[in-house]
This record gives sequence, structure tokens and C-alpha cells, in this order.
Amino acid sequence: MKKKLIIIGSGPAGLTAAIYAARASLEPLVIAGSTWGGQLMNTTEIENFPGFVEGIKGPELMNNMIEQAKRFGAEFIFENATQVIANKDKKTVKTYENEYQADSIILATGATPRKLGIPGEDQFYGRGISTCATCDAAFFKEKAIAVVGGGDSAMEESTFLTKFASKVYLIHRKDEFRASPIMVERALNNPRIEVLYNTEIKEVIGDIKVKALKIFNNKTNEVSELNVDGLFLAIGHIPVTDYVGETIELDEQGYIKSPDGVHTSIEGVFVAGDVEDHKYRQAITAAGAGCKAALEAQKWLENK
Amino acid sequence: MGVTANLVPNQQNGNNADGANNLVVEVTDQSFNEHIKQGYTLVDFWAEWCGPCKMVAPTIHKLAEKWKGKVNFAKLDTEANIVIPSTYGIMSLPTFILFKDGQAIDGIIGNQPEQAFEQFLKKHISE
Repeated sequence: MKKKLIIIGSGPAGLTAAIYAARASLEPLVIAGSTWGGQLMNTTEIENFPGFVEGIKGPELMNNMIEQAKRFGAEFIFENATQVIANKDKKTVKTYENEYQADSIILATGATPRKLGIPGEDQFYGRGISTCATCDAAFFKEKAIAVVGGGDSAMEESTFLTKFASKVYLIHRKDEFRASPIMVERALNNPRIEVLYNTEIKEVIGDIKVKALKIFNNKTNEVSELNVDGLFLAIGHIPVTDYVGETIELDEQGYIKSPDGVHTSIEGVFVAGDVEDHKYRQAITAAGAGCKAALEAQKWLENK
Repeated sequence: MGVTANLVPNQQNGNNADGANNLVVEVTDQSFNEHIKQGYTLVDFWAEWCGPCKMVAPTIHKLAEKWKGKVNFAKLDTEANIVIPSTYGIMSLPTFILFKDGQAIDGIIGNQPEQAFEQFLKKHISE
């Protein structure tokens, strides 16, 4: 059966789009994917989403959005989109199991954690290397670990991890952080965190699990080994676009190309959130983008 | 049309309307060995604070339905039970370990798509 609107992705962008579209009686089908809920599912407390005085847990917020969308008639499937074939008149979304037709599509597939791309990284993933501090911190009680990155999530994760680890090395390849001052200050003032500036990780060393990192100081050219039991990656995210193929235009950095953050290169295909947003990448901006995409889709469907 | 399983995170381990959860048995440090000693068992090591563990739950329910009779499915809360997770060197959640007649034979880490689990199971077990 042909749908009026398919939304691919179920983070704040996709779910806000689903709420608006469902309220506009577009009966959207949300292809939620196996990583439903998006990046906030990996977080603990969200302190800056408006309306929650004491903060709210990431998974709880996402679950609320899903329930809210369902209440207005949005339909959810937990399949992964593998291909989008779209032109002005005909749009198809393929998953491993099925194929769906729609008049319009909103792409809201967000972003996935970036990897370092160094020897040992894949081998030790889940054996000391983690992209989810919330999930795995408890396995590093009284151990020495490293966090790599220079943004807000690197600061937040380092600070969070000191509740468990005895020592956290915060490794950053530059000599200053791009994270917000309040987050940097919190990390720098923490006695369990030691910052290694101008430092790059070259290799992860271990046997059945992580034992050490080979690190390189790009100011002194010194190579050394740092003994740690774990490494948490917080080096940003890359947009998830593997399913769009040649159909929809991407920019040089691999984000969905859009002149206004809503429209794409194909008429009737809209975009929202981190899969397009180079700059802000916040839950609230993704939600705002999802709202815009739904309103534009609604307008486009009316005038079609 | 896919699974519209219960999505309420804190009810992941309760019974849900589609009954799929009954196929995934909750085990503890004490009951673990008894549950894995015969046949194939896929054990889901999870914790309440782990978002990806919740995200993977609908996939596991689907698999439990599909592989019913061939593979037993179990889950172990790594917060309430620490002996078994440390025995098997669990360092990341979710981790899934496949047991055959009491022996760990393979593992898969993280919230993977259903197809990855299918491939993983098919490596060891004929459908």
C-alpha cells in the first residue's frame, strides 16, 4: 500500500516529523531502524532540552516522543532502510525484508559515531574500546582509561567516567578544546582527569582486551605507550547516508545536500537533523528541523 | 510488517502484549549454568542504563520467535549479576554469547541489525 509519507529514522528529527505529520493526518510510516531512538539512547541525563526542569534521561525522552507520535497514528517498523529510489513522481524505500512506496519521504537518519581508523580498533571493539560511556563505564571500576576527543561529548564522557575509573586520560590532537567552556572547566577541574594535548593515538595494543595505546605527540614527535584498560571514542559523528545511493545529492563532506536545511535535490524528498546539519547537531535543533520537514512535506503533498 | 513490540524502556524485561518476551528467559548468576547446559542458547548481557540494549530488544524478540525450538534465548542483568559477566569477560553492552551444551562458542557485540544476528546464528546452526 502506498503511503503519503515515509520517515526514515527515529531520533528527535524523525519523531518530531512523525508527530507533526501524524497530527496533519498524513498517517506517516516511520522506518525506525535497529538504532531506533538515535544518539540520545546512549546518553544519561539531557540537561538542555527545554521543558524538563530537572533534566530527563535520553531513552525516556525518545520513548515519550515515540508514544506521542503513535497516539496521533504514526506507524512504526523496526527495519533498516537499505535503498531509496526516488524521483518527483515515484518514491520507493527498500529494507532488507520489504519495499514501501510513498508520495513523499523525510530523511532523518542522523549520524553514527566516528572511528579513529587505526590498527587494533576493530579487533578490540567491545573488548575495551567503546563508543558508549553510559553503557560500559561500570566495567572499568578503579581502572585507568582514555577518552579521545575535544568536543562536548569528550568532556561529558570523561567527567562521567571518573565516577568509575581511577584515572581518565583525555587525549586530544590539538592544544585546545572546541567544547563549551563550562564543560571544559568541569573536566579540567576534575582531579582524576589528566589531559594529553597534541596527542594522537596510533595503535591500540592488547591481547584478548585492551592493554595500552601507542601515542604520538605531534609537537615533540615523541612516541610512547600509555597503559590503559579502555578507550572511549568521542570524536564526533558521521552522517548516515549509505542507503541513498546516487539518488539524492550529498555534499563534499557526505551530508545530504540541502539549500535550506529542509529540501533535497529531489522534489518531495525532505531532510531533517544530523544527516544534514553540519553545525548545531543538538536534539532540539534536530527536533526543530523535523517539524519544518513535516510542514514542508504537508505543503508539497497538498499542492502536488 | 515488522515488530511493534513494547517500546517502553523500563518494561523491556517485563511481559509484553505480543508474548515474545516469554521466549527470552531471565537468568541470574545462580540459574545461569542450568539454563545453558543443553542445546544452543544465546545469552543477552544487558543493563537498565544501556540504551542500545533497549534498542536491540525488538530484534531479539523477532529472532526468538523465528529460531524457536532451535535456539534458546536468555538474558542476564549485568548490574544485578556480576559473577557470570566477569567469567566471560564482558566489557561492553549489549554483548551476546552463543552457548552449545554449556560451552561458549561465539559472541557478537553491540546493537546489530537483525541480518547480522541471522548470519551469526547461521554460522553455527542450520535453520
